[in-house]
Amino acid sequence: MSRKIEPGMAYDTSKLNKVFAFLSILLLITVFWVFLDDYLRPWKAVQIEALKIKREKIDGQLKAAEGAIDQQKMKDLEARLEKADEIIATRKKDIAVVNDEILSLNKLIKEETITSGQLNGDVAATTFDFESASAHGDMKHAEQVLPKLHDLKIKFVASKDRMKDYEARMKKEQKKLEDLNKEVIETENEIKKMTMSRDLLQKAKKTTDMNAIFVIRNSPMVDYLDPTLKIHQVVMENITDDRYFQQVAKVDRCTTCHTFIDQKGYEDQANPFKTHPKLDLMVGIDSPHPLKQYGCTTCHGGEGHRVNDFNAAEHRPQNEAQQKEWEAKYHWHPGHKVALPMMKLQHTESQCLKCHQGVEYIAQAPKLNEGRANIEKFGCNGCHKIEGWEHRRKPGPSLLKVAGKINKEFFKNWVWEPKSFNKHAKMPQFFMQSNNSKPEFVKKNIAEVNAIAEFIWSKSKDYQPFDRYRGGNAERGKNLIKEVGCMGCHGVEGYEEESKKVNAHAGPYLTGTGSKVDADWLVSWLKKPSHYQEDTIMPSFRLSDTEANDITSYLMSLKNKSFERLKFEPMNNEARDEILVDYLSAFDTEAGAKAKLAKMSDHERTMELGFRSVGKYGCYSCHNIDGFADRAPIGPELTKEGSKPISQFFFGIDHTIPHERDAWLKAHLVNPRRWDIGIDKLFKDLNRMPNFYMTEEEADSITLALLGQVSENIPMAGKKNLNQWEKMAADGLKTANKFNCIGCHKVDGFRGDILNMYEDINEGPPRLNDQGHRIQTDWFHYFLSNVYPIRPWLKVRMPSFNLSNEEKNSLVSYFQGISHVQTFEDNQSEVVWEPGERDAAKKLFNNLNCVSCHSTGFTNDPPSAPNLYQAKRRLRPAWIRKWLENPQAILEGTVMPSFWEGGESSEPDILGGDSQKQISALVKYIQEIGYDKLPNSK
Amino acid sequence: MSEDVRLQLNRREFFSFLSVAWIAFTAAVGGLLSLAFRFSYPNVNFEPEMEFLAGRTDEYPPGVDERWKNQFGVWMVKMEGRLFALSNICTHLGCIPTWLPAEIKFKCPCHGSGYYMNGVNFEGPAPRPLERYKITLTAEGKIKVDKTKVFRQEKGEWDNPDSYLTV
Amino acid sequence: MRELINWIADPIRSFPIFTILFFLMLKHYRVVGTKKFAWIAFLLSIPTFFWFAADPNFFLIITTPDNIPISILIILITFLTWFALYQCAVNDARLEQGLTPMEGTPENREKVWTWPNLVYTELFAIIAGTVFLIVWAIIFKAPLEEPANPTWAPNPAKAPWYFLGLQEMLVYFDPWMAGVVLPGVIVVGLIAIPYIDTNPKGNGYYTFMERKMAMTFFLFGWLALWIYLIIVGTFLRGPNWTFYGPFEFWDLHKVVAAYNVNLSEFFWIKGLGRAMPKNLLLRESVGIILSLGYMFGLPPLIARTKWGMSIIEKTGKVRFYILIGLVLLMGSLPIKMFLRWLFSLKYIVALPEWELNL
Repeated sequence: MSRKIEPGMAYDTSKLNKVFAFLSILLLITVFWVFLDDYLRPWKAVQIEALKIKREKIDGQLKAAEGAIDQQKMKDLEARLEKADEIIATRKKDIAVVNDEILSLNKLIKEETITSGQLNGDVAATTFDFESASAHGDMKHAEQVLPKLHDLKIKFVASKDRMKDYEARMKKEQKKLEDLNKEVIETENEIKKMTMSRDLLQKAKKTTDMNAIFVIRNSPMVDYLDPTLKIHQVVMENITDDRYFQQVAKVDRCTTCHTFIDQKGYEDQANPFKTHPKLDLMVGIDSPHPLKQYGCTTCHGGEGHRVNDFNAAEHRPQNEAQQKEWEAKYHWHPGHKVALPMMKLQHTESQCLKCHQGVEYIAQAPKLNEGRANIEKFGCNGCHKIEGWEHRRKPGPSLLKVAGKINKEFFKNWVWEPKSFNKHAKMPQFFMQSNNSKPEFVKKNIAEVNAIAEFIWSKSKDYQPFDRYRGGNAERGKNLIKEVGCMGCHGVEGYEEESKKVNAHAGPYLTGTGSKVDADWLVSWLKKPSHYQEDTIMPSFRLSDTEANDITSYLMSLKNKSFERLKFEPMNNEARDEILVDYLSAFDTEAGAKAKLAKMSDHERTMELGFRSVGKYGCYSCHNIDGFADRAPIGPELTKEGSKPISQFFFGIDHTIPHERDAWLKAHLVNPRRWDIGIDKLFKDLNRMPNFYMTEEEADSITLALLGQVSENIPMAGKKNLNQWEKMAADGLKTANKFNCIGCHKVDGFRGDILNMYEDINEGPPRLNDQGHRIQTDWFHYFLSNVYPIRPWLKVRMPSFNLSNEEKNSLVSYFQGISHVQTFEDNQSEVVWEPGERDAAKKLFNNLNCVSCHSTGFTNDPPSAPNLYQAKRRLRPAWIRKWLENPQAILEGTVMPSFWEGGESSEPDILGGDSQKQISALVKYIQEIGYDKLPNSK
Repeated sequence: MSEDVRLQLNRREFFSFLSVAWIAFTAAVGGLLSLAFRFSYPNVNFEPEMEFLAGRTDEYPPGVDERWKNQFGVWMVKMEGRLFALSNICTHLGCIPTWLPAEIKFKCPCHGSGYYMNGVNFEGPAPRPLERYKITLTAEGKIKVDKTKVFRQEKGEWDNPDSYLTV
Repeated sequence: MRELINWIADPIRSFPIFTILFFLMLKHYRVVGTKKFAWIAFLLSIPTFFWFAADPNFFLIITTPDNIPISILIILITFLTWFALYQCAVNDARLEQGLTPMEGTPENREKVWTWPNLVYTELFAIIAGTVFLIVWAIIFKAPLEEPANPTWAPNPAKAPWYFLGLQEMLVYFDPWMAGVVLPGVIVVGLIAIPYIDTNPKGNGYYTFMERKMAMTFFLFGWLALWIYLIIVGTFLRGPNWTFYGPFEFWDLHKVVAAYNVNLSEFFWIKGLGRAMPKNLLLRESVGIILSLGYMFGLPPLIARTKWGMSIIEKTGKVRFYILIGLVLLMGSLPIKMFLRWLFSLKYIVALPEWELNL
């Protein structure tokens, strides 16, 4: 303090002033900083860049538009315009007259409007006066007013009449003016037509100008009025976010940065300026999922209401490579404590499941469908409850009569290591895994498997095949297998290439069969599968004895020698007893358990261990076993797996797997026992999920499907609600999937896997295109239980399935639902002919030589086309018509010729060559000759 | 305060530390207040959509088209070489009239107001014609209807080029 | 080295160390309260801080936006404590020489105008405070966590910093005691201070010499208990309220074995080898006797000591007993903590039937 301080002052004022100045300037700078921090938002930079891109695009379009303008024509038009102007100039006087008339008419109209308006008011007022007087019973006043009212009304009508006159005259004058100016107007219109597109583009370009107005509109304080750079949002009442105590309408602001996401033409830009892929399916204004109704986060997840910068929205990289890219470009880092981060791009399809519920197959969601198909293939739903999957059958074969099918040695070796018998086996492996390969565990596992075998055998009902193998020709059998259609459901050893093409998994891969079952059982099974397993989906192919024996002969020739040589180790009683003591001491002391055990006989102990082991490993979840019908599935429920908190997934000691749901699920599917590695566990606590030896692709697809099982509840109005047809189709598809109809039949281009192995598509099971419009429903219902050959050239047979009435109805309505048809269509029992029509029909029938292929009932030639006598009951007449008109349009590649190519008849003399008449006649003829009774019916 | 101090203050120049301090302080406080004021204006709008794209002019047949009536309350009318967007709010008391194609008129069910196809009122209590919304073409040639701008015939606004499209 | 610090940081060790350092600080306040000491401590703390902050786990804790004010608080309190001791040292030296304390010097007794001296400087404080808050608000965004989920509590669920001391006390005491009784007593005790403190010395000037007892008792409760517990609660308590050293990673799965036994269980089952008596009072008799003895037996004993008698002489019996009561209650916290650490003692008196657990 070198300066003198005044008395009464603690500090030197000038020093204080300096401090004040410093602090105030500091405050000012800070306030400035606040402005900047608040105002300079990363998304604004993105929008500016978007504007530049849009401008560039418009520039491109402008150039094209300019180029499109024929300069020569333009010059001509301009010259014409000049001339037209000259012509108009000569008409100046006339135009002036017309203009004057228009002016005076304007005055008249204006005047009349006033008069009319006044009269209108007067009428209304007087009406009120009159009516209120009447209402109040003041008849005298009413009578007084009435004539005045009428008078006014007359005047009003007159005024309106005059107005109509004036307006008509005005119209006339305006037309006159137009005519006088015709040349100019026309030429100008033509010029405008040529330049319209360019002018519009120029206007559009102006909107992207970043000029002074742009700056002002977007400057810091003024931008509350009408900024160009602003946050865009989509509010969806029908789709909500779950905030635990309230459902809040979703608000998506993604379009603030993803500016062109719903506009065509930006497909080649880099994100965020790219158009959404598959715009006509997603996001596009004409798509089933327009942006304004479904937003973005419905499918992609993420924090849709956050806008600030790239990180705010919780984008998630697809893989490590993209993560590095984002870290460099956007300083990306995952946010903490985010309820719903964005789905990784490759998993987006999983979210379709949220709204598209109750269907087995979602069109345009191939990855999701694949995942769900894989879930069915591996039978995950057997052990893990998934809501909506309850109707699906148990993944494994019934063990209720297994003692009559295989022997115990096979069973034990199979259970121990299924792939040692059949490398295509879907049965997973429980033993010799990452967590139970230690010798003491193996010993106990062997005891368990032995016990299970004994137990299952004791529970198995006796089974005697009803037929015997009498020997057959293996080569003929092998051919039959390919011909008859077994490969729609089974892969078969000896047909490896075809099996791969079809990739069927409804039934097991037939290999080593000779080492598994005995021939008598196999023959009986082939003749009548439901004799062994009542609820099997395996159908009968109506095989003759010879055929059944031939096929059996071939299948029995398929041996697995190495598997036959396997000897399963017998049970170690000590190990068995150890495990039992473990079980029994759950609620008892070890001594007590041992005491209990001592009281049990050897057989009782083995049965007890068998019973417990079946319960422990959950065999009953996939196989029907006597006594386990009421047990809950062994695995945790997967209905809401996609929303399960990460903290509930156990990652063990493995730090290589990222702490994300999809990473855990995939790792789990590839090796379910990995979580026990490094953990000290007792035998009874070891993880039990078996290993399916899935490929990475299969694990990926199932992970995707599971990620779709979320707990988000979309309100009814936002979900996809199936209309009656879609419901019928969806329910029907469940049945068609169960019996693997779609494994053989391509339904409107969908599935039909077996067709992959046929060179000529017409040799395979028929494609069912628009089947609902083709067949009669009562015929179809009958046919499903009374199969008979329809297409004589086919070697492949439609099997006879063991369908319940409900299932038959479901299949019938499946096709109805797809084709939107009513159940019954007109089936004329009495055909009414026009004069001469019947003869024409018969003539056509002869000339077109239908019987050359459709010979049944007409000639003795072998038929190569269906029986026309059956057509009446089987087919709908409207469809027969369409078929005759153009078979290729319905069934591409069919051998049926087209007699009316391009609508022109090949028989010009019959019925005057009129295609429609000819076809009508033929359809009637088929109706007339058709049988009324269904084939093979009483 | 002592005399000396006061005298000393008077002799300060204009851009003294004190005046700089007060100017900066006022500016800063003013800035903060204006920020508070700006904060009271929203950055996003939750009101319903007032403008929409309505396809192309050739997608509309002559006469009255009702495809946007339920969603946006607009009739697209194509007549006498023009396409315009009529508001479906009756000018009497605000009900929604019905289009009667057999009688070629809009008829309001509430009190019977009747309008011609071009929107002009001719019967019933309606005092003036139906309003027209601003209708323009985007650069891609799509129709854009903007319901925030309204054109009234009785004010002569139906000649405004923004109130119709030439077709 | 880090392992060592993690080990030392455990309250079992850090609390005694902190307490010892505290008393040393008070004993040698004349040394601590010097500018030289301050500079040395300050210069040493800078590299120490950077060394600490270099550890990613520690860095994560101190940069959590919620914890930054605590760090600032610690610095402030350290400075203010030192400043107080410095002023005390200066004044006490002067008093020994017979001079008036600094506050009594003519320069410092001079009156100045409120306006502009106080008001102007208050304005500076307002502006500086505003600048600080604005800069803070811009740099440290408010931590936005996930939407409130009534079915899931965050782990750890920490109280605001001013209650962390109480939350830490919950480890050792029954919630009724730690949450209601003791805080109530703290408040009542603070209110009571002007009434029991009749020492006229130190009125308007710093001094330690003339207010040894008041300073010691208060600073112990303030620094060694309250502030220390807040530091523990902020930096050393992680998920599941488990102890984590400053350099330790907050592993969710860490489990520290801690099975605590009641005094009555120690006495009857372990000590006498018999079943616990049915009669509640009999069962808890040991604890009851000890507690009663502590609260009601000790004061009269202390009253007979030289120190006790001097207080009674100066302030009277009532004030003495109130003072001793409060001091004993304050001391019960460190005592309980030690009993927990040394013997895994749960409750001295365990009467859950009456909701009374000491």
